[in-house]
Amino acid sequence: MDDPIVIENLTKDFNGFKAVDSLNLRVERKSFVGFLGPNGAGKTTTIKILTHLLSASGGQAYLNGVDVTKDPKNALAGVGAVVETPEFYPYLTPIETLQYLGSLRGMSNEYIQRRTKEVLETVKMTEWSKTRIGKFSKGMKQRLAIAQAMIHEPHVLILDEPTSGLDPRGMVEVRNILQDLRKGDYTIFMSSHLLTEVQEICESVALIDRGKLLAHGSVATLVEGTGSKDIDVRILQPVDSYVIDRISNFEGVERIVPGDPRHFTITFKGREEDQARLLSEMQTLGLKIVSFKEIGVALESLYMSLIKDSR
Amino acid sequence: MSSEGNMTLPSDLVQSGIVARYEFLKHLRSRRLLGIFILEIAIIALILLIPPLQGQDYPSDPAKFAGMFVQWVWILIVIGSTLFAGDSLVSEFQQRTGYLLFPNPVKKRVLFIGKYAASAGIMFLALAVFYAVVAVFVISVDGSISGLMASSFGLAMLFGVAALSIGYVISSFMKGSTGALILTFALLLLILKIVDGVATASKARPDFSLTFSSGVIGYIMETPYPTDFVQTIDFGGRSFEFANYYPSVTVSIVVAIIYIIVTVALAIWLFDRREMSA
Repeated sequence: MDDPIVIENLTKDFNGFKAVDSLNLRVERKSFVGFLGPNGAGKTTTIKILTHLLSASGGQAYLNGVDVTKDPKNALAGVGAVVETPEFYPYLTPIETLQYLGSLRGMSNEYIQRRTKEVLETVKMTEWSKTRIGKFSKGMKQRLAIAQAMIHEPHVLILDEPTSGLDPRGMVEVRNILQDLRKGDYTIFMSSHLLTEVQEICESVALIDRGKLLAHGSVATLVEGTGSKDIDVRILQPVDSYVIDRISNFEGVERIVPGDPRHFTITFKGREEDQARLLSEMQTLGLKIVSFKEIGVALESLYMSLIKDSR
Repeated sequence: MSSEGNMTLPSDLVQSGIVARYEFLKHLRSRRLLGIFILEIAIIALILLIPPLQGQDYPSDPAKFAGMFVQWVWILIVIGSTLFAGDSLVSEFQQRTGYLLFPNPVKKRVLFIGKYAASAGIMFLALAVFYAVVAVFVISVDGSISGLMASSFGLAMLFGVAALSIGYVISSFMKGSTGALILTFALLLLILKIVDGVATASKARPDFSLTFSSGVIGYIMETPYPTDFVQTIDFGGRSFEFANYYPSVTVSIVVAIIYIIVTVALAIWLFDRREMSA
């Protein structure tokens, strides 16, 4: 059992309502997996079982090979978690909070001090390290929540909607932190409602509805399976209808929706090689392309079709 | 990850000590402890002011003088239990701090023991300060103190811990902090007292009651120790008998220990099973 997160036939029954229904899922080492699903799909319940906030009605959930339903203390030793925007003890400072949680994990004082400095720098909270948390905004608490999850350099990070409830600036800051984590030796399992966020950050996704897994795989593979995707294109010079017509005739282009004279959206069907060829062909028309970017609708299409099929 | 990353998880005992240390810090930094100290000062000041205002001297017997203060200790215990135990567990759920604490590799019963130890420590601090200040005044007035004060302090700590245990049970199942605080306070100050009164009126010794048994904290200062008696009052040609019961020291100690064992076991059982479902 090498995979750091293994869920086998996991079930959670709330008085007859199965929030998680015989769920099976494996998360590979060093992968960044987005855990998607509509409200009530069972995402948070699954994450709460993984982090020992809820008990399971049946099945197993292994973290680094240890069943969290049977031995939560050892299962959670190598795991960092942020679940549902936790609240902090208002009478403690970030340094004291990290000292507390680090001590519970058996970190030495020197190790805690070094890691505290590092993680507070990572989440840009150094300036507030000695201020009592009672005065912090939600965004600051969320950044601190990520810091505490990383304090012991865990191999596995479990994040439940880490950008939930944040203002746009806070979301960007947290997203940047998560992007940086991809460079480290982390296996990250993250639930989110934001499909664009998942497509931007995660390498693979697991889609869940009504407690059951609908799809699991790399974002590219799953999106490829959906067929079409939307590509946002910005050009330096204005384009006329002749150019739009020429692009419409390129292979794989299904539709073009013009925005302003320097901007349009292409609905495209094809593989990644076909998409690369489209970009080259557009350049042969003499277009000076400023931006050529998928805008996440592909994952949304996949999500909507799978959710629709499951209901 | 790093070599330092190969940590060994501390034992349950060490973890409970860590939890106790930070919980104790919480109490020290809270306004609640300050409130208890202010109440202690108010009680002591009031008792010191009354005899001079009535033109009387302070008792020359150190035990009797100290007894005037000690009879207020149960009020301190009730308020202390309410503030330091009533919402100790429920707040983890209601304030959502459980989302921070529970995903750590620490058992819930270890968290309980740490919190409980910190509450007992802060109760000790509150009572110790009260008895110390009283002792200073008694010595300054009478020139000595009674050894019975130490017995009273020991009993106060025992009943203080028993009252905290009741607060922890309430905190383990209540949904809101305010309700838990009110119920703890009402149970210890009113409800059990009413039960004591009803039992006494029915001529049944309420030895089972923590509030009745806690009377030993004050009665221990009296020499000789008071004994039960029945008072007969004639009213309208009819005689009414009123029983006056005094708790036995031994029975009271046993009752307090039973309360501690039963309520702590129940509170751990409830806290262990409670989930962060909201």
